[in-house]
Amino acid sequence: MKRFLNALVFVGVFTVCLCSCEIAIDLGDDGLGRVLLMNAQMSTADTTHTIYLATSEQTGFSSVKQAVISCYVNGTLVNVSDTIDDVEEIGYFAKQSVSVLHIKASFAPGDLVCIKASSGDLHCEAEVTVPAAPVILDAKVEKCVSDYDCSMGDYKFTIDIEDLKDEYNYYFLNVLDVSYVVVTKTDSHWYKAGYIMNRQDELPRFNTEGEPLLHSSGIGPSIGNSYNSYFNNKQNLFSDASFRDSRYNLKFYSTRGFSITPRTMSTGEEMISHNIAVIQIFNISKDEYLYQDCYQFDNSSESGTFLTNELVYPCNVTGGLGFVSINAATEYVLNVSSFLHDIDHFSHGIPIE
Amino acid sequence: MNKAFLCIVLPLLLCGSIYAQSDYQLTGYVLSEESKECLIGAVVWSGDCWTVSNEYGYFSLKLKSGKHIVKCSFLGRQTAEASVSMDGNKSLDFTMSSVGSIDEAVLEAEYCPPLPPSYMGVLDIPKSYITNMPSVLGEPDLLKTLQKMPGVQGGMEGFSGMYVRGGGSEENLMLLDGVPIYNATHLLGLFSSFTPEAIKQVTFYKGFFPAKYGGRASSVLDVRTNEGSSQAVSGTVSVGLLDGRFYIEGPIWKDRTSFSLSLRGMNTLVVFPFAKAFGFPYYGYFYDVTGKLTHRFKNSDRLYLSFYHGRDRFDYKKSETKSFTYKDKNDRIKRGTNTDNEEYGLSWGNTMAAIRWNHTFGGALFSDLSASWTSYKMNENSLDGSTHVTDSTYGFTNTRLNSSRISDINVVWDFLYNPSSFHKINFGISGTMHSYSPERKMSQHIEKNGNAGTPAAQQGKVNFMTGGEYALYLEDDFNLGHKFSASVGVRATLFTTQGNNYFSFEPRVSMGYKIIPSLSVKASYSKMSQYAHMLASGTLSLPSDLWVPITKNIKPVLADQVSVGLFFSNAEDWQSSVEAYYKKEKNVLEYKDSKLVFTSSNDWEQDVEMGIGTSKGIELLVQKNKGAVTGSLSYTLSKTDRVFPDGTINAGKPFPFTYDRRHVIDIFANWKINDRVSLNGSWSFASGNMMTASWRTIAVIDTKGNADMVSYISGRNNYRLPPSHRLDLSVNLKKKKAHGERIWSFGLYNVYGAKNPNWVVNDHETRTGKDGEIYIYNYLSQRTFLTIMPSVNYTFNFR
Repeated sequence: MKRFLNALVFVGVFTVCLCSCEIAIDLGDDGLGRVLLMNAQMSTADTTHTIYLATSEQTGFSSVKQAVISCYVNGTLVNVSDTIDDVEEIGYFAKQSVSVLHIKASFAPGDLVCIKASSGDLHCEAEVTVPAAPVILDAKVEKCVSDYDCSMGDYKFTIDIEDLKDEYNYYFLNVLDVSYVVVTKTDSHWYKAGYIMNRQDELPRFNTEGEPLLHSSGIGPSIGNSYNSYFNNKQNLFSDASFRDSRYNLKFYSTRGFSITPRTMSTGEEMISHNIAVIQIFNISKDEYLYQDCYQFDNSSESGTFLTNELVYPCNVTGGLGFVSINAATEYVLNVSSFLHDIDHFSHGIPIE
Repeated sequence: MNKAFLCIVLPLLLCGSIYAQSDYQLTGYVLSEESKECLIGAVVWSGDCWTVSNEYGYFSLKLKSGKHIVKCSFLGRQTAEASVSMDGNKSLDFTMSSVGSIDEAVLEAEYCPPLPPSYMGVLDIPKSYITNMPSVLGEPDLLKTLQKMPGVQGGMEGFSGMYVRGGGSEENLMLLDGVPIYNATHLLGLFSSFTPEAIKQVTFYKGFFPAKYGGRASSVLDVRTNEGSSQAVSGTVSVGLLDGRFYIEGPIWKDRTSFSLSLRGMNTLVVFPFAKAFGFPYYGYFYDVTGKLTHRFKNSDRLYLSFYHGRDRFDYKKSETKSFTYKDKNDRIKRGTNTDNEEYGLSWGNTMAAIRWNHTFGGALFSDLSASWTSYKMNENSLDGSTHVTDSTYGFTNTRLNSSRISDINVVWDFLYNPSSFHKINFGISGTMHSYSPERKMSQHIEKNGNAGTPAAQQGKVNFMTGGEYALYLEDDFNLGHKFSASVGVRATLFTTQGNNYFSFEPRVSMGYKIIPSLSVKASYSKMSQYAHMLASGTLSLPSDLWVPITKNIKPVLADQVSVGLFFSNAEDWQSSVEAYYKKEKNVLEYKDSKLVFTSSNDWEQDVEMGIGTSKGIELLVQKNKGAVTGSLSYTLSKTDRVFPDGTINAGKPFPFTYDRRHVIDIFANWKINDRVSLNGSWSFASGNMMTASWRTIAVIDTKGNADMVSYISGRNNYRLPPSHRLDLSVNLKKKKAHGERIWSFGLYNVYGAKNPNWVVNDHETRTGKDGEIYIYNYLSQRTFLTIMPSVNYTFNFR
């Protein structure tokens, strides 16, 4: 009986294997045709804005040879640009490039901004309302002393944010890590007192994992399951869901230590190295928040598995594709550390309180 | 709305009670003569008065004083008749013998077709449909049979997924002997948990829901198991390609106590040698046990004990040892070994136990009191380690345990009161304590360095929640004259969890009007609420799908459904219906666009969004239940959408539901050629599922202003897959033997090898265009693995 059943199973499995197959389904035409692809992320903090423009087809997107971009603020034309400053190759193939254009304009909260683009017979436009600037009530940095803090980094940053009233708000955090050396005493012919040398603008190396606003799961114990290491919020996006119409103390840590050393130094010279952090909070629209959330998930290790949904990026370009946004920024500059350097304390310096 | 509803209900209840006061009550059970099992749905009547036996075979008929001839009819059995003198409340049991050699035409004339019950959108699934329906690997399956009914969509082809009238798979209340089963499938949904031999009666509600049912938004599947014969032992042994089944029933104490027991298990001896032969280090099995004990007391009280336990297990175990040579401290060449171990285990299953007591108070009031416990749990364990043996031993071992569990303790007390023969009042109370433990995790890391082992480093996490669900219901089924019948009910529910209370008031109304004796029109309205959500992983019924209760932020699913239909019934021969429905569901859940669809209950509220689901459709069903050829034809035309106004899914725009299949046609036929040979065939056609496809790539920019490239999706579920269709055939060869009957069943699934999409993913490749430029071509890759599939099954029915 067992041999008989085995034989039957074998015939069954063989038949199934023989007939199983993989078929490519041609999606056909998506009905969009050839359109302009326009992307821009503008800010109230800037006066020159970058616009990426390309023609989009089902086979890819290509930079444009010529284009005209117009910027309207509250219905008034404020600037026109027809200069293609650069072409950026994004992928390996020809049909994966975009043209880079710049346009000059200043935006204030509440402005209705319209960007219109034309290239040959293709036209598109996007309309965006400028959001209000976020409010940073206070920000401070302190050297970590507690065991918990020290396990997270050397410096602890605290930002007191006040949510904008009576509306749902979406933000992202950006921190600039700036280090430079100021000459305070010198007899050099090359530079005088007040000269700034060794300036370094670095990508921030901050540890935000313990901040529940930025990482909803908190740091938590990692116990080896891949789905526990939820994708990293690299863009530091957050919403006001947990502090609507009130305040929030956002905390993060720096593990870097902000050290910079003068390149050269002579006897009798004195220099002060400064390490500052520029805290930037951007108020963004909900669509931009969703757009960036999609983007950072697309770039996470979890993306592309069969357990994820395909991502639908918001699109606000009429007559074409893409997304144009304007954010409103608030900056807060913090002096993290300062060191006095002389020939005897060339590399490490003497901390200045 | 609520006040108006009460204004209608209360007077009807009072009318019925007043009308009833001068009559006497005839009560009893309708039983099978051979097994003394109760018969559900038998019609008991005298003159114009009639009633139908309930799910325990109990009936209650109000008659005026004097002599009456009372008759009882049941499909496939001879009509029974008794003379009763009603000078007070009386008790009478009907025992009904099977048709046997009686000419069917005579029986038809005797049969009294029941007046149209007012319930609509309700299907009684004949057991013969389940056992005869051709299916994958020839395994009869209740849920796959239901997929052939109008309004029910299957998920992945060949699996037991169930999506009813646009609802999600978690919106189906599956009751086994009145107790919910949370994951009613084996082998990731390939088979349902209901053993065909143990099933006595299946009633499926998809349109109107009697007030006694609650807790799910889309459908109720009420499966009753056999009580077992109290006269003689009989049973079934069945062996198929994938599993073996054994069923036995019989008396423990003749006429008083009976049992039924079914066992089912996977044929691991047959299946896994193949996996092993091909070098796959896998092992797995499933089994289930369904049992029932019934005791009939002298005073016609009944006590039932029901039990179900099902378990699936999957194991992967791999160990690899490599040897190598090395020089020790004294420069001697020695051999060492390096062993890598990898293990993974996953087990899941349901367990259910219930005790039930039926009692009649003073003749007219029937009560059904039950207490039950049901639990679903999943355990996952993994181990990886490495041991390096030279003069010393170095190595490490990581072990992880993950478990998920949901368990309920239910107490339900249902009552049935017949104030008159035209009036039936159901009411009851229930309380359920839910315990949710979506995640219990533990991990351990042990290192061995030289001869000393390091202490185990352990981490753990437990997530535990409870919820209390309390309900009261009242329903009145009544007739006004011979043409109009109605069921008017209300269910009030309170759900408490984590300090939050949710109250729900659910009116249910269904009405029927008999235009001519064989044609009636019906209409119904139902409101349902659901207090638990399932965080599902996708198209398969994965054991790791988590059940979580509603929270302060995540509201219960509320479904409103309106149906209207025409019903044609030609005695027992032909039955057909056309129903149209419109259903609106609030607070249906979907994962947000940029969220991982996977199984963690960590902050799950932030990963999902509540939206609105709408579904509308027309369903046609034609059934022939009698004669040499029996079968059914069903057609569904439907449209189901979802919209999430918050904008986090599909930018707030409406999109079609994944299982929005516009046209579904199912035909099933059973041809009984003679007593020994019968042929079964089924053909199905369904419009394709919806899926999200990408046609082109576009550029995007991040918050730093850097440009990148992604797939452009115009919207969720923006592409309809090709339609599916297939023909399945099977033949049953029966032969009487000395101690029973043997049946060989041979089947062929997907006879003409239709290449239906079983699994489809987005894919792309590089191509060269006419201009010589290389570009990315996006397409869908369809995997088809359920093509021609033969099956064989051997069954022996013994007695």
